[in-house]
Amino acid sequence: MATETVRKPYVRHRSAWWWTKNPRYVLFQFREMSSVFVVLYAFLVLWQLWALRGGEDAYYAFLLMWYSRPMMALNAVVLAFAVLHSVTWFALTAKVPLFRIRGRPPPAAFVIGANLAIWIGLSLLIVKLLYGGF
Amino acid sequence: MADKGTTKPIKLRISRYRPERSGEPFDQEFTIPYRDDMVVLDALNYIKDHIDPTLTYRWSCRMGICGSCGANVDGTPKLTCALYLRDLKKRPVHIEPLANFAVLKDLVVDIEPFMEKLETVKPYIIRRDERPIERGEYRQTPEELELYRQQSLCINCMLCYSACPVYGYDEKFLGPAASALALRYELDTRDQGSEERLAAIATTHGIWQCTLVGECSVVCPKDVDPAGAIQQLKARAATRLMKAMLLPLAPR
Repeated sequence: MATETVRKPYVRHRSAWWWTKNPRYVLFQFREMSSVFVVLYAFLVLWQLWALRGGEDAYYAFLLMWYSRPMMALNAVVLAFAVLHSVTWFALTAKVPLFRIRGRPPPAAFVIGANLAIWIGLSLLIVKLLYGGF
Repeated sequence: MADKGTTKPIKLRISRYRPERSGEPFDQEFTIPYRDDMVVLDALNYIKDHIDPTLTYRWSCRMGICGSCGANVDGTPKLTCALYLRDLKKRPVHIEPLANFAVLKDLVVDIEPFMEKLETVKPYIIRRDERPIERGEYRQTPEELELYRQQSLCINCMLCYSACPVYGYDEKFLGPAASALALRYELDTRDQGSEERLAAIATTHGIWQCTLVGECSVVCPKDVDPAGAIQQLKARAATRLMKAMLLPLAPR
């Protein structure tokens, strides 16, 4: 006699707060969210260019707004997310070894360190070009 | 020296699901005698042997190579045979089936979707010029073997799928282990099937759906680094696409 099987696969519901259970999931969510702030900053720069096009008075008005406390706070938040975005992105570079040293991929610390050093070096160069000496 | 054997009992909270009786999974607590050399699987076996023979879970080798005893312990995907109770701080120890899979009974999950994914990456050596068998095997140097050795160590325990929020969000996603398996054949010097394999996996629900959470590589008990494997596959697929666009007539 054939046996009847009772197969009822149960699909569990995932809570909307799944990412709070693990600090690495939290970091991931923040990294993903950072792109929103990076886009927001791109719009702010476009706004700045638009103000510049409006002439001296318009640009001065923009600068007054730009240096206000709320805008400084927003800029600080954007900077924090931009740094998070960049650092986590550079941390990924070690995952794709483009070359091998004696048959082995280069050590992760070396790849990440070299990328970070180049990034910081170029950033400093840009600051120097914009504002002159240190 | 004090006897290291039995000390005070330990409490475990285990997720139960009885498809033939209850509609929803529920937690059940068990108290068992504790020894500090016990792994989580030993505790499950003790319960099955002495308290409740209906407790259902998969296991086989008890030495971290069969890949069948995975479960979420205190929220983290682990091989229960390789996790000592003494290393767990929370009491009771909470044992649940691997996340992101449908539960069949107690700690047993439906592995069918995973098996289907493994097939889609064409996990075998593809040759354009098949050699007659009399000419012997395709030989490799130790260095050539080393190229894909890491990815070949996967034991299909599915801990990485349980840790992957992208797979939890969309079960169509190819996922970590299957991608690592694809890279294992991509890096094999005997293989000539890169074109069709990349075409099969460089898709929306394939490697491009990965947003690199990276947790798959953290939970992997064999250090296969599936997260890294997916990034390498993305780089290969992107390089291939760029070459096809810039050098349409060049051999790939």
